[in-house]
Amino acid sequence: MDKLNWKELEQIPVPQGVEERLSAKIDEWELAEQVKKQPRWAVRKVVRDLSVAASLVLCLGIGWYSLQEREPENVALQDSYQNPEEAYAEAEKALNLLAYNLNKGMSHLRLAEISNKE
Amino acid sequence: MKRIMIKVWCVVLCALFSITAVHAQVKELEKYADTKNVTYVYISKLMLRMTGGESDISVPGMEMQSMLKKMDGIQIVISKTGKMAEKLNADMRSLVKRESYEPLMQIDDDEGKVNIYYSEGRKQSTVVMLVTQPGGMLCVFAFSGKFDLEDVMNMVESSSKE
Repeated sequence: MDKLNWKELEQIPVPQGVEERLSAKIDEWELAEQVKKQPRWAVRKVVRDLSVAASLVLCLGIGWYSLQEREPENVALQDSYQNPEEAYAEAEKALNLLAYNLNKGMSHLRLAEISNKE
Repeated sequence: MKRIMIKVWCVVLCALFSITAVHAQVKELEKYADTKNVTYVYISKLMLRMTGGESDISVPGMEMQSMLKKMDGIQIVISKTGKMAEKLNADMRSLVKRESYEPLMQIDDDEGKVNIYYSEGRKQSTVVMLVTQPGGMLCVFAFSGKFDLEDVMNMVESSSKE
């Protein structure tokens, strides 16, 4: 049955120029597909380039900001004392006060413990 | 490719954050450095090392040298005027809440009110002490460094032996 059909089909006359027209059509589709693909690729490339540029700008920005912060113009970062002895005296006073208060609190706790035991 | 980009980004961001987080002090107090009616004192790590190395003065009963070695900076802010003291107090309260400081001690007696808070970070720990005197004067002490709670408690123990 199939053989018969094939034979019949082969007998049908092929119009002139069909092959050329078909190949031209295929070429046209291929070209259209390429044109469609190209913008996506181009957009991706642009996005990639932009993200690299944005990253660089961000890195430079953060770097610049951190450097600005470290500049000695920031009064809070400058030592209040130029003389180590004076600085030491102040540090000693501060630490002494911390120790004094911590001990005061702990002594109250110890007193409470002792009174609880009694 | 996308994963590699994400990983690279994470590394870059971590590095940048570590650079910006090197400050060895409480940032909240920095704004008082140039404020009227407020005394701001900052003693840097370098100055502490110099003083700790040269001087043999010590706080009675306290392991001063070891604490000084671990300390990266001391900030002291003193406000005598009511309005500024209130502002400083409010700032400190919000800092303690925001940065989840642990209350270490609170003393309320005739000498005034003392609050001590402790915060242990990955890079540095901080002890903040607020001293409110009966007249309304407020003193804030911030000790920053690479110490832990044990070091602070050792300070108490060694001091109580006296």
